[in-house]
Amino acid sequence: MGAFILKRLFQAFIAVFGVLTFVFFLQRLTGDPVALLAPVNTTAEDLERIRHSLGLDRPLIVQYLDFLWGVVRLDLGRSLAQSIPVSDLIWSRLPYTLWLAVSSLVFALVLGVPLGVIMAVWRRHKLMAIPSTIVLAGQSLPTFWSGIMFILIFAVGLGWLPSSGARTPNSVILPMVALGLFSMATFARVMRTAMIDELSKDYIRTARAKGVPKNAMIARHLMRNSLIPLITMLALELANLLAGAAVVETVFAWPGLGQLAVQSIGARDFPVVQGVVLLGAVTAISLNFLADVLYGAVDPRIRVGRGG
Amino acid sequence: MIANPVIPRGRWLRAALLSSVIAFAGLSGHAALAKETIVIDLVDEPQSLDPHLHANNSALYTYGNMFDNLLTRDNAGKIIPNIATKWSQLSDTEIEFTIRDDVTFHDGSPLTAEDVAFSIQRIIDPAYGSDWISTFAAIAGAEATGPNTVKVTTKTVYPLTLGMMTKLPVVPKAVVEKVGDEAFNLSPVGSGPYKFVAWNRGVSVDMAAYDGYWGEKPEFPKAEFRIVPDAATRVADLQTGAADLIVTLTPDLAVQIQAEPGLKVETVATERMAYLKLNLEAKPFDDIRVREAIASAIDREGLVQGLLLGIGGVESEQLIAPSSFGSDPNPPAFPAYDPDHARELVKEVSPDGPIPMTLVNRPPYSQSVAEAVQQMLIDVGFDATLEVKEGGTWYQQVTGDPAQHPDGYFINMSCSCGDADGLFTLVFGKGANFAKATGATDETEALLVKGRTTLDEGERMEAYEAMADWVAETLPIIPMYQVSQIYAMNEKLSFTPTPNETMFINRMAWSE
Repeated sequence: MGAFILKRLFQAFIAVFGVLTFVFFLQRLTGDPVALLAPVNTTAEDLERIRHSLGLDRPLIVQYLDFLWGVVRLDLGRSLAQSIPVSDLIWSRLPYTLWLAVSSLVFALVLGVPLGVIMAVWRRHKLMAIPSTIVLAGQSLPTFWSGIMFILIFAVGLGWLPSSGARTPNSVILPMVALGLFSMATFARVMRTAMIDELSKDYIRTARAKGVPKNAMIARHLMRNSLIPLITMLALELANLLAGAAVVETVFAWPGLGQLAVQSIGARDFPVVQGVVLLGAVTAISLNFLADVLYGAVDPRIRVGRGG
Repeated sequence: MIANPVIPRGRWLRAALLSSVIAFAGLSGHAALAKETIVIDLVDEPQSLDPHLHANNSALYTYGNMFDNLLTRDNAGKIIPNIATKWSQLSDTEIEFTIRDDVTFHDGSPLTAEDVAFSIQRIIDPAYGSDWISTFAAIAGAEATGPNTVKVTTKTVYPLTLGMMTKLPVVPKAVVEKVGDEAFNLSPVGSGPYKFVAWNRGVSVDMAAYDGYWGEKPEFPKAEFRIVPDAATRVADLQTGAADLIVTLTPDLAVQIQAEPGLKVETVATERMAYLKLNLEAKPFDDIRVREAIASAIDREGLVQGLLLGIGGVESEQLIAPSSFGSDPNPPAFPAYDPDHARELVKEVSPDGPIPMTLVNRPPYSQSVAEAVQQMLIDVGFDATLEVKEGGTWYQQVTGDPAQHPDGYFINMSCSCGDADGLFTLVFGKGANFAKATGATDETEALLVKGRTTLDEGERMEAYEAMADWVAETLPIIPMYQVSQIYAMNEKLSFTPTPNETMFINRMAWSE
């Protein structure tokens, strides 16, 4: 297991390094941030001086090494657009994104898993068209559209929930649902497939033969074995939720990292984009790593196989 | 486009929802009490609350209510006293301002001539790195000459000093020196009608009315500027009463709001001009007949009425907005919309077929306008192609070597300075970033220099009229329309938008 973890850690390091390098150079292909940040009447000399004071007139390779050295020291630099440290910006936004992503995940699990179980166990029932439609909708509605529809229905039409922002505790509900729908659908589908797979296995036939009641069988045997694929999905979905937050946070004016990333990309605020991407990459890679380890914990076959 | 799904939200949806849940309908109304807090939805985060540092619109709206400028403009654009009550020209390059003696900062300390001089020195200091540095480039320095007098020195004879001082926020010297630039930006202290309360990153900037304000006090004890990036969400905020005033709307959203009871839309034609810039160093666009053909092919009325729904802009054949000094009261004749004439001219220049033409646009300039102009040009015999570029790459192309320029590009340009010098210099001035391949000559440069180094208003006016004539004869740009800023608000709020896009809460009123 130790060697396995070391190997995965090394891979994770390479992946983060690759992402950072890619983002660094990709951004610099998109043009000059100074020209976009300064007012239109800024003279060429003043633009040059701003470039110099921000260190953007140095050779690209020097800027790159400086950036990497900063990352090593956990110094992400200063925002070009807002003139404050990137880490301050990220820390102020991170709790909102975590809160939104985790509540969306919980929403997706609480709704998606039972839905998947129902769809598997009663898969031949006529009424199964209803959960299927919900899942299909969750999977196919783009969040920027469903988000605005939720606002129109629940905030403008019914007045139940705030239309935007993060001022009151119930502000999270609409973005949570908009963001969680897709994951909900994914969980329901994965759960359904896994359950149906398990249903056809020998141990189920044995359990049925010895007269285990249906509900006990679902709870004790089926669920447990069907959870394995779900755990892998869980880590991937959390990463997806963090990514999907970019759209949802913009629609709902939710002050998280996704919104910060979108605005910073628009403003060519290189250091902020790099900071958010670094955090995103580390999070996604750690989650995958965690999934692998958890996977082993739930299913001894995997642990033995890989650890050997 | 994200906004579109909102439009077909027919009345049926609302009717169905409301009828099914009548019990909850009452919850979405507005509070009928006196207005405690005014909530304004902005598009993005203010780049800084230190008013000398950054200059995006959100920042201007926000710190504009916490700081006083040395001078200000009334809603019609006229320069009026503010912190300075009067001023006199000591010499060609020196102006003395007399400062009010009853102004205090939010920490209770009095605002003095020292603070004004310090503010000017700070904004022009290259080491400080203000976004405003080019705006204040003509200033050589400032010093307090008495407890209530400040002498401002310009590098040359400069007629725009007063206009510039409407953009000079006064900061407290003692506070800035004590806490440092960084801390001052995060917790600003001004002398304006509102004092800073909190900056919730990504959410809002909160303010409270300053009891010791010297001027007209605002009606609302509290103000909140919120950050709501999505236009459809800003509209929803307004509809639910979560916001009282929202900025930057598309014309189609504005039309939708106009139909809603309890809400209203206010627009103002700003100094921002939308025009097509031609490349006078590319063949055959160096031929005046070709440029005349382009000018005759563009149907301004169609663009403004059809695409901007008569809300997003006001037709203009001039670069300088009528609200600015130097706008020509008797503008020169500009080629009228006449596609047949355009076709003839194209045939004359290129009898063998269409003239190839490359056009470039960038967001956020209207893409539908760019596409419509492309089609108008195709209709009269240009083989026009339109490319959309991202801001940074667009900027590099159109400010770089003219050999790499497109034949034409779309741009919305403003100086928000209320003076013809602003746009004429930005668009045609020697060495200006955007003034490439314009056909500008030594004579036009001499006019611009005369305009910005002569104190006599009559002579300045003549220079700008001559510039306007030159533009109409040479056609280096094809002006299309003045861009309108669209605001939507609760019907109870009265707010007069201004051409220079200011938003002073103490000029607003609320009536139940």
